[in-house]
Amino acid sequence: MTLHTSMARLRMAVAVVVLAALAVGLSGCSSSGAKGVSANEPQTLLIWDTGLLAKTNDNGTAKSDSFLHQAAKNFEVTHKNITVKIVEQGGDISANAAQFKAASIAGNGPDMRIQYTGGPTLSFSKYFVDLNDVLGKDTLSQFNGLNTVRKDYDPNGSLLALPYGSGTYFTLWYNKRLLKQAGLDPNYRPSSWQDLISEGKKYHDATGKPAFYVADLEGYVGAWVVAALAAGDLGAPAYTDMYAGKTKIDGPAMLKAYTTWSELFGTGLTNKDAGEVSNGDADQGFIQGKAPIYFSGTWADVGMYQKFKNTIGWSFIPMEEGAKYSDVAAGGPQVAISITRYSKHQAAAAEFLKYLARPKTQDLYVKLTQTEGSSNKQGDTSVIKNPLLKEQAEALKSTSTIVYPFDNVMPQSVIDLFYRMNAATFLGKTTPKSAVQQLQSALDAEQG
Amino acid sequence: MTSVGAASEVLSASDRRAGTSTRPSAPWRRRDRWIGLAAVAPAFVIVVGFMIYPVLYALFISFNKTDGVDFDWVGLKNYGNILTDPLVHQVFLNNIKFLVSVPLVIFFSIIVSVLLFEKIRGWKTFRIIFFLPNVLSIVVIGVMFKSIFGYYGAVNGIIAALGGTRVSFFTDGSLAIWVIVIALVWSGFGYQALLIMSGLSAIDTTVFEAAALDGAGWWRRLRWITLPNIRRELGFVFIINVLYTFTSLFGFIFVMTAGGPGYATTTVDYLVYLKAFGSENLGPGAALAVLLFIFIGLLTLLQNRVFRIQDND
Repeated sequence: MTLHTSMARLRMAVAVVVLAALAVGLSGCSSSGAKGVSANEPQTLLIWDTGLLAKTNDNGTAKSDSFLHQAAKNFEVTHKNITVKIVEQGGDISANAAQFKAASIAGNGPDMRIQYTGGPTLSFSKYFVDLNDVLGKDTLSQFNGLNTVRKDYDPNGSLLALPYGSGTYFTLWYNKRLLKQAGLDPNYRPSSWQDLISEGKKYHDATGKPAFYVADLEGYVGAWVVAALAAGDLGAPAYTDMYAGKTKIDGPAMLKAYTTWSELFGTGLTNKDAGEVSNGDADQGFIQGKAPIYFSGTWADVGMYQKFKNTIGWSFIPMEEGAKYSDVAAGGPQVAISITRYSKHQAAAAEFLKYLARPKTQDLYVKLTQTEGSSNKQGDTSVIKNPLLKEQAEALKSTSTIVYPFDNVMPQSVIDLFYRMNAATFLGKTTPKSAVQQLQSALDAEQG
Repeated sequence: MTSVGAASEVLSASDRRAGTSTRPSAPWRRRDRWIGLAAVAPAFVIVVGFMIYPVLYALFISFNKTDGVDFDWVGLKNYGNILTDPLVHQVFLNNIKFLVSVPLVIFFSIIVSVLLFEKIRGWKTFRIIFFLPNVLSIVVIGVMFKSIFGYYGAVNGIIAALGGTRVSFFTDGSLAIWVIVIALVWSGFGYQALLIMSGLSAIDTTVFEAAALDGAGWWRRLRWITLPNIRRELGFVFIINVLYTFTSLFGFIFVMTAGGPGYATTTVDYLVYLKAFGSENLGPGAALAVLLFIFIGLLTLLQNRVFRIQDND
């Protein structure tokens, strides 16, 4: 064999290897297009949770009271071929939504996603399976809150998610011990927003310290306060009417609520770093006693009760003086569990969802979290042990106006802008008028 | 001077004309051609698949109203909306403000590179220290600067210790831009200094020695010998920094301010992300990306002409 022949064979061999590698690479790049895997085959179910049902430590391990991890573990015992992998997306709602959208367009997102009800679910309706057929009428008849996750809020629309939990509401927490130390009434309950500011001023005058602990980096606190205040003028259908075009975001009610909100930072009654503190660090600052009054988007009952016992007080966010509706609670079902259309493990995902939908599974959720009751009518109320949650459930029964909030109802893009405007108006970087105009334009653009 | 490759081309051309050949016969040429094509195929697939196809697809998206699943052709409407959007104008001006980082990076890079080139005491250690920021991820740098300039961070600690009032750097758009610029300069000047050093090492050292003998001091040598001789490197550093300012601030912005407060620190590349993924319509985001691509291309051509990078001395 000549050198020439050897070289030629070597070249051919290299070419064959390169082409083979190319073919393998291309097949790897392409979508497999495989049909769904049967629920009986070994598989891993991937779930993205936006910090709603799972709790993890800084090193990624599950916390002992993480409901989703416990539920997954129990499910795996009876479904040995299925491994449930839970990925926590972190606390930034806008960034999470963007990640999910990008992954869904690419068709390589999770098998199941847990997100907020309303707009954050409806905005991704193209990527979610209709659960009407998956769960069946008998199961669904046991659930409350289904209207918050139906396509276009249509009672006959496809069911995009399973609402989990009876709901949680925007709340004002106050530290009775700090109020008492400042010579104020520890059992104070605000009669109006103006009364609340007046009480804050008394505290500030007495101690020289901030009265309100606000963590508005992302604009979430503004979302709770603005939504509650505007509902004082617009009532229960405030935001569903805006979504349907019956009222305008840039109308007087939202403008007034934004104006009130924008004045809070200027009073000097909040922590100076309010515009820099992330919502994730908010509970900690309040618990450390940096200020006696604190706004929260959820009933964070477990942490509050563990830390303060009977020295913690709460109320719904108070309305402005002269509000048409003075007794308002803003909130509702928050957690929604969906199955993605592109999932290759839809059968297994349906099995897991059915498991989560069982009354006893949701009882475990209520037992572990103590932040809301069960959305299942067969839920066991005896698992509610936290005295704060019991108080809240009672208070809710006697509340005359319950509003499903702006950042649940609206499309995701409007919600993202809402948060941005809340942070900007709070710091005086955008005027309330500009904020409501931008929001109205965004909704108009989104609805075409 | 004729290169060997050029000479062989001339030779083979004359061979072809003469009907004689020193190259392998026709089947061998075909086989060589196939081997050649197979060899470049992976690179070709990567370039087409990961560069040309996405660019063309983005162009296609920019003419549509689409959520990534359904497409509705709208022609130039997205471009019209983007060009008349006041937010885009505001954000573009933000990018212009970030350009202040370019002369700062170049200034520090020149100083550092010249000092390292002159092998000041401890230059080997300094070389490593200056390059260290380049091995840190943007996220780490962003978090670090956010912490240092936070309301209770080290900078405010010093201000308070000196009797001053703490400054909320990230709730004021102008101050936040300056913090990001400082982070940019800090993270970039080490690498840029290395680029400039490569130019410095190509300068004939006898020129410096002659100038020194003639009594030229450090500053005059820098002004009249060093800078003119590294004109091309400086031009290159300038161009990539301008490019960087328009296309690569996303990480810093995402981590440090998320574009806020309001849109005070939002840059064009961040706005592309917001428009594309913060909306149910990908079209406007894609249109903005295409416009940014065209703008950057034209800007680069202009800078190339100004700095005459391809010109011989």
